[in-house]
Amino acid sequence: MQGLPRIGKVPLVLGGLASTAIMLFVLIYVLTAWWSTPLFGFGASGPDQPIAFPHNVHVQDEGIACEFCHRNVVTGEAATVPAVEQCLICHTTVNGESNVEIAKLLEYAGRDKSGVVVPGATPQPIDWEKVHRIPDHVQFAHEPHLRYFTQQQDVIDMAAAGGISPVEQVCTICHGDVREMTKVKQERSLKMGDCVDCHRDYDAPTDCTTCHY
Amino acid sequence: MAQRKPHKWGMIVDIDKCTGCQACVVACQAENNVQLNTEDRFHERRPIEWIHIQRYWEVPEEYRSRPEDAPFQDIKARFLPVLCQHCENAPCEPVCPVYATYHNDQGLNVQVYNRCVGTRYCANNCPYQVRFFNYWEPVWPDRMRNQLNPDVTVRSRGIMEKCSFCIQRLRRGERQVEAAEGGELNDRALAEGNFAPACVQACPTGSLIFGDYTDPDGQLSQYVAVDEDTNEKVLKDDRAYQLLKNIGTEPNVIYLKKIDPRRTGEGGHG
Repeated sequence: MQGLPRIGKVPLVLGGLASTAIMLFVLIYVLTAWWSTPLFGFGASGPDQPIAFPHNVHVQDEGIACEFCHRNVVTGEAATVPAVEQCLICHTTVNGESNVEIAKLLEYAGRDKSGVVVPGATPQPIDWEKVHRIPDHVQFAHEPHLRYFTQQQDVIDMAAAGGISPVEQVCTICHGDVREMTKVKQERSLKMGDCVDCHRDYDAPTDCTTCHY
Repeated sequence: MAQRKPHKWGMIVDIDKCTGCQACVVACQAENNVQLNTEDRFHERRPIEWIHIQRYWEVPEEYRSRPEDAPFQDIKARFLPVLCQHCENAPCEPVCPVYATYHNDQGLNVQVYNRCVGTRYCANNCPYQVRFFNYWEPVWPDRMRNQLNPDVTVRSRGIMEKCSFCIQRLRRGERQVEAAEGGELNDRALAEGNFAPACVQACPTGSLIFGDYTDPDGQLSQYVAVDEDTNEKVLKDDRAYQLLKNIGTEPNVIYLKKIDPRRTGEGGHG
């Protein structure tokens, strides 16, 4: 270290290392903002949910359709997260005696581990973390997107080849392969460029007031 | 998906039916997440009312030069609902440096909130005074937090806002009509599905009529025709007029004059 150039007692090379680190940090920050998905760490694998809900078990293993739980998706603007009551269609039978996550669900529903109602317990809604967030000035409706794409022959063919329903095939366009996710994360940036590219490709309106009003 | 049908939305305001009850004003505030106008806002001359009722006192013609001498029973209250005129030749549009306001393919003068940078040029250039600037962050009392309409963006401080002809209802109408019938939104579907703007829905006397100028069977067709060559509106009704027509803004809101029983000799309440 004697031969290295210094400022006072600090070797100059440390300054170089520090500025490289800062520039790297800024670069990662900018790229993360640009893609609007984290590169690594800080929730790159999606946010932690109050109950570790595995989509793959429900969709892949049990074969439940997307729109069975997200009921509003084919009829309305929001896809909607199911009420706790709806989980109980199965989960009073598939109870929480062997699975700690199902036990958590039953606790939200005001029941004990075996699915029996606890007297005096108040059922609580589950505060799920939002995964796909779009800004407030964007008005997005699921229904027209599903209506359009489920009528496209290539989507129907792809769904038949993959052995899934057309609706499920359409969901994967924006949400990725949720059927294989144990923890849901955002797959696409869902920034305005992402939307507009697709709207141009499919000759959908690109007037500002299609989404912004 | 083919391009949307080039609608041309417009409104008829029948002054003869207007009683100045302000139901339209209230309906608009509730539908469009317009901030609560407190007394202070009026003192500042900065209330936000996408539609407002202007009130005038009319004195008989012989008393025009000395209105204070007019007998009180001859003084008439006149009401004029004023909303964004959605001008074809809108003075607010060319002055926006960021294209936050423009005319879309449906005959609407639209305001894109996320583009707006708040220069206020548009409001200063608007001859009708129907553009409103958010000088402050809008606040609602806590008990009203579930009252906001989720279909409408809450405008933050520094954003210009104005009547949108309740475009959220038109969009919803388009979606529902396309989904149910595979057709296009027309005047009939508009009336049946309550997709007309909130003010039109709320008006108890039916003095506001909303519709599509291009629809030959629509509600507006008896008042206005659109010339196919020049694409200009031809007013068919004797009572029809446009606000400040002489400055050439070509408004899409058409007013129908008040019928004065004294002048026409018809019966009336006097």
